[in-house]
Amino acid sequence: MTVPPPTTALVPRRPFLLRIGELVEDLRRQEDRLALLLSLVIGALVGLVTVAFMLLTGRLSAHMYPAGGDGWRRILVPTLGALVSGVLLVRFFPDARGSGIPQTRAAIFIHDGHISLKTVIGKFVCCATALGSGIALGREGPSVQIGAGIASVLSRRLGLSREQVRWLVPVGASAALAAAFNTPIAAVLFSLEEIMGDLHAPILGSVVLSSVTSWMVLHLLLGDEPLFHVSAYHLVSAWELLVYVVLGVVGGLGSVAFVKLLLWLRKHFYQLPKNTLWVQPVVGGLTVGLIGFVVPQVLGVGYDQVDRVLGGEVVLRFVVLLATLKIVATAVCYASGNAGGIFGPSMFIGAMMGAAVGRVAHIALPGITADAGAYALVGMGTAFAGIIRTPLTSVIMIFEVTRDYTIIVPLMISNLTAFYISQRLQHEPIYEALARQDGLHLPTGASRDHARRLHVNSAIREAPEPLDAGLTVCDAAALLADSALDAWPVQDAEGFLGMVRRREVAEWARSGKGDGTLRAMLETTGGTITGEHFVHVHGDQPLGQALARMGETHQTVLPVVSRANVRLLLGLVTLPDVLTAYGVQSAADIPHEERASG
Amino acid sequence: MAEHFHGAPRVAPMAVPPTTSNVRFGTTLLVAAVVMAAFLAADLALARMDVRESRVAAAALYDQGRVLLVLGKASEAGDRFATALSMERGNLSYARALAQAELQDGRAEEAGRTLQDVLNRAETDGAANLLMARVLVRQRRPADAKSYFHRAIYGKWGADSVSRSVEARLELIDLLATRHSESELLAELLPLEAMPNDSLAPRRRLAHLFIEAGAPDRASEIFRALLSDDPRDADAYAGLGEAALALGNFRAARADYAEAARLLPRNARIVARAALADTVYAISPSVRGIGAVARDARSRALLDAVSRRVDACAGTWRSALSDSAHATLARVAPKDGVGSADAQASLAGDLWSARPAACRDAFNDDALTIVLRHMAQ
Repeated sequence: MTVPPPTTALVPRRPFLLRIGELVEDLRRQEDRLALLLSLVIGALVGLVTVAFMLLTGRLSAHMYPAGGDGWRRILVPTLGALVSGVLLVRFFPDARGSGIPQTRAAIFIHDGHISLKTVIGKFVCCATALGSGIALGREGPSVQIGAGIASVLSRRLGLSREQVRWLVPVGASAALAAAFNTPIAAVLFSLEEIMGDLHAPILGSVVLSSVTSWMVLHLLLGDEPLFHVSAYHLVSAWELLVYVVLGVVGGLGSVAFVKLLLWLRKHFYQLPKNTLWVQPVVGGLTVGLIGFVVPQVLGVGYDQVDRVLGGEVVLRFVVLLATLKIVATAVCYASGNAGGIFGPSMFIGAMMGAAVGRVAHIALPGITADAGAYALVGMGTAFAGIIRTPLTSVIMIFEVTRDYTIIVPLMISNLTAFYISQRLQHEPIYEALARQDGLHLPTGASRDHARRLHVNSAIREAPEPLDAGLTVCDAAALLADSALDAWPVQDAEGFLGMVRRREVAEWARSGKGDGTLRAMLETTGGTITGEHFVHVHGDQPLGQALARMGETHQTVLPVVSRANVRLLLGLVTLPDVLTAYGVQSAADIPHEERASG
Repeated sequence: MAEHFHGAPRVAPMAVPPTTSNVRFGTTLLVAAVVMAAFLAADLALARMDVRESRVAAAALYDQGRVLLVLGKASEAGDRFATALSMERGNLSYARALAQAELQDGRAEEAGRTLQDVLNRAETDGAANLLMARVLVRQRRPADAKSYFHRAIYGKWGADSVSRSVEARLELIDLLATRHSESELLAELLPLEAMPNDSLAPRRRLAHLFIEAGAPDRASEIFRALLSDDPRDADAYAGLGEAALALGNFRAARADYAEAARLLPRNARIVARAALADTVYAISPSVRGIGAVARDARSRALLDAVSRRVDACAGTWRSALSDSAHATLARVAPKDGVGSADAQASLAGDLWSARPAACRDAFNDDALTIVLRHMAQ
């Protein structure tokens, strides 16, 4: 009787859903692919939402202010719009107040990247209402919070870790700015320079990808027109650079005036009773309405007027008036709690100031100066650099919104001048000041600069005389018995070999290995310069890195070696020295023998 | 019986049931895709609506601007056009209209910039080039303007391109006529002459321009053609008379103008020109059939008249020339000889040709000047 061969079941096709599940599982495991996919998804989604925001705001504004409409609209509409958005903000969407930039930073640095869907919706609705009714604020800041919020919501729903959610928030912010301003490069720079505060952030790739995707969505839907159309201006004479310096001074002073006024007003609005929060925006609405009744160009962002002065339509007294009124209107609108940003108004103010300077210069020095429109163009970037304090972003942004490269050198000079003046007269940048008024303590540029300035060289001490590698462990233990340092350098004929820990040397001596050499001990423990446990730092590395290494390896003394030759011991850095450099511990508190020699 | 299987036996892999988090992950992505699709549809609809409404509003503003421009309110018209252009950036008609308003409002520099943007996008746009030419004329840059006029003439005009091109050429011709650039003027007139043109007014104008361009013979042909169509065309007779004056055929000029005056006796200009033609005929020593004595007398009178006028305005140079003139008069005794008449006439012509700038105004377009001009040729 033959045994029938074992039958093998026919392989059923795996169900479709099962295959999808495996794909998803595979995707989730591969972080780089996941980051790529999410950057694209966030970029596309944020781009679509931002475009919808811009279109709806525009349509609302067109309906609120039809061509040939009565003047009373200019008073009533912003007032009512501010009232409606004020009620909505207080009752339903309290986290949607403000421009959106400090709120986005707070989400990243304080709330683990958490921005709720309700805040996103609230920002969208309230800002569209406010801006559509003519409130003198911008749409770019709100777009940033909306984009950041979308990234936050999406990444949390996808079950990503807190760290991943935090990193994706600026990806959404960058996508929003790229679409709102049609400036993909500036959006990337702004996300890194202002929102993250670190141009070398590891999310650079994702930010670029989302920014580009969002920008492509914008172009797909709205075409390729730049935000402003300018004639091809150029430098007429080298002497003109001096005039641009003057513009930088004027722009800087104007920026300081605007920031101080805004902060001062906001401080006073904060002192009002909390139960008036819902009606405070009406003050801004009424102010801009009354101003707008006489000078309608102050209403809304005012890009039409900017376009005109960029084209050279400049009447001196009028542009001075516009700059002044816009400063007042925007400051009051923002301080009173209306939803909206200050990017757009900054550029408006800068364009008017630039046009005024340009007109005066062209009248006084017609042979060596360009038309007022060129100065208006540079003025936009100048005010942006002075108010927002992102000089690199402002240069690139002006280039992208106008696509005029010819004016780049005067722009850089003027921006730098304004930035310097603004920094001297208003020490705290506006977004940090606004956050502080809200009771938020976000990382500041000063603190980042301070951290970056502290290097290992700030805490290095002279290395003691190294032990010879041929010394026996017993002898070494005897020499190190009274040492204050936890570790000691060892050298051979070729130079520095490694560090031996006092405790380890004593243990080896006690355990009967005292006749062995220090070299043998280092080779056994992997502590030689080629060993896997060789820990060291370099002089130019941040002090924080040295501290981190100490923590990882549980060592309180690290060798500082040359980058060109690790056998060259430059000194030591100890934990007490690091604390002294940070100001945690004063030198007087450190025992004499432990103090750094420098 | 062994069972045969195609291929190697396979074993079903272990099934991995989907985890909750994977389901949620996939669902979230799916929802995101649906939301994107919804926003895409909404954005497309909004964008289309926006574009449509913008175009309608821009068109309305453009129409308002055109009316204002016709009413002479260039500044307000410019505002309308500027707003229309901001709504519909790519519209070259709006940009051109804005430039025109700016030019009319006296803002030539701004008009130039506006047009430069247009020309950067549409280099061969006839209307934009013509406007730019006008801007440059306003800015007293005729040499640059000529270049743009030519681009306008040979540029793209869309509908009625031939007539628009001719209009551009006529405008250039007017510019050249005011600058008395005879050779350039003639170069622009010749293509017009070659074009079939049934309308009388342009042909008449063309003929007069030929006279200005120093080609009176071509003018005569045109006027004769006009007369062959209508023998009672007084303007054609007057034009023919003008051409004859330019050609130095004073007898014919007199006859043509007389005919014109006969046909239109109440036309003051024709009557005046007829009288002028008579005077020219009466004082010119070069007309045929007047005899040597009369020729000599006319030459002397001519020389005397030129000498007096130059004498009256020319200063130091005047006295020297007057002496030369008087010496000639004294040297040449009145005889019935042709030689003295020719010498006197020639000297008169030389005096006139060499007159200093200060004396240009002393010689208006009168009979004496016409005779002297002919003698100087």
